[in-house]
Amino acid sequence: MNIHFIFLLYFFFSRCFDDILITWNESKDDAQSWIEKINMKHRSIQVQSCISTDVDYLDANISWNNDYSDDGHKNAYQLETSVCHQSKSEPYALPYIGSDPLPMIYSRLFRSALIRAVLTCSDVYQFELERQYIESSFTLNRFSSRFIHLRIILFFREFGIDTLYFYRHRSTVYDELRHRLIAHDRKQREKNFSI
Amino acid sequence: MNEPLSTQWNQFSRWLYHHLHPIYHQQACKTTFMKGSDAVQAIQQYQQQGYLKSSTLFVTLHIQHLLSMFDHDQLIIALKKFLDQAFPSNEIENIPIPIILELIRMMFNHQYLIYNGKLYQHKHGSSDRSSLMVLFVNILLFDWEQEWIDQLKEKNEIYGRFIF
Repeated sequence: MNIHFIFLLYFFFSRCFDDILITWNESKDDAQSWIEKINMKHRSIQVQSCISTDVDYLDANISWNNDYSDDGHKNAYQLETSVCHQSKSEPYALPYIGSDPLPMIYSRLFRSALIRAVLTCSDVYQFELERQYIESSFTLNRFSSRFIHLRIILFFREFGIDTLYFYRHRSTVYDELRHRLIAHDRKQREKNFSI
Repeated sequence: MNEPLSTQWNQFSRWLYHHLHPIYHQQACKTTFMKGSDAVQAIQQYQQQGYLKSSTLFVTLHIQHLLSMFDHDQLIIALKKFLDQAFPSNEIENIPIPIILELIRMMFNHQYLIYNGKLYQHKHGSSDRSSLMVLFVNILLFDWEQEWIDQLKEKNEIYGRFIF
């Protein structure tokens, strides 16, 4: 499934087959009447919409808001992104990402899940939640904690981060880890393209 | 030729996909994305460049039952537009485009399926999930979305002028 997006000056539009994401700068009511117009135009293409500052798109959750800090002041607006687990499938099912069917190599599956977590989560706190979720999924599917801990250490090692150092300096190291993974992801995409 | 019709269609299908797929991708995919994290990275770039306002909302749209509901005629019209513009010589490897469209139209008119012992014909949509059908529907949607993108452009140009 390919997504294409248009990054024009004042709005964002992206489509991945039958899922579309747009930024909207007018009111929610305006958005709803615009969507009704779309549905009236071609009766065979009907869209279901969700208009909010917090949406799910593909396997990501995107949230744009300002939270209140501890001293009661409103912080600047922040973009928070995390992994969204579709509620349709059973919760804590193994994350079957990617197109490789059988034979399923579970170590690669764990690694793909962690990669997806770093690429999708905007900050280390979301990443930690997602990491715990991945660990729970594998634990509930009868994988040993030895398997899980080994996978995590190997993951950090692959991307040049010492696990203990990560847990001591999480916020600062996470940005660096994310940079490395984005570069890795870009290389993978170019490789896939040339095939 | 005594090959069954399905083999001939498969050959035609592969040949057509081979010719259309790269052109569609060149036109429609400024950047090729495959997953949610790609959209996340793009939105983050958008925000870093300062385009997310405090009043900005996100809108997600999901087209319901697309592959079962799309209109055959609308798809053929979108395909014709796409082919005419992608192949100005009006042919692909010496096969005229009108002939190709006729073959595709014929295919859509003869989609049958058997369910619970009864024979049905598709009046809209398709049960074919091949790469070619997905490409056809992508071409249809690429045409469909142009109108909405143009409208968004207009809306946001006005918005931009008030701010800057």
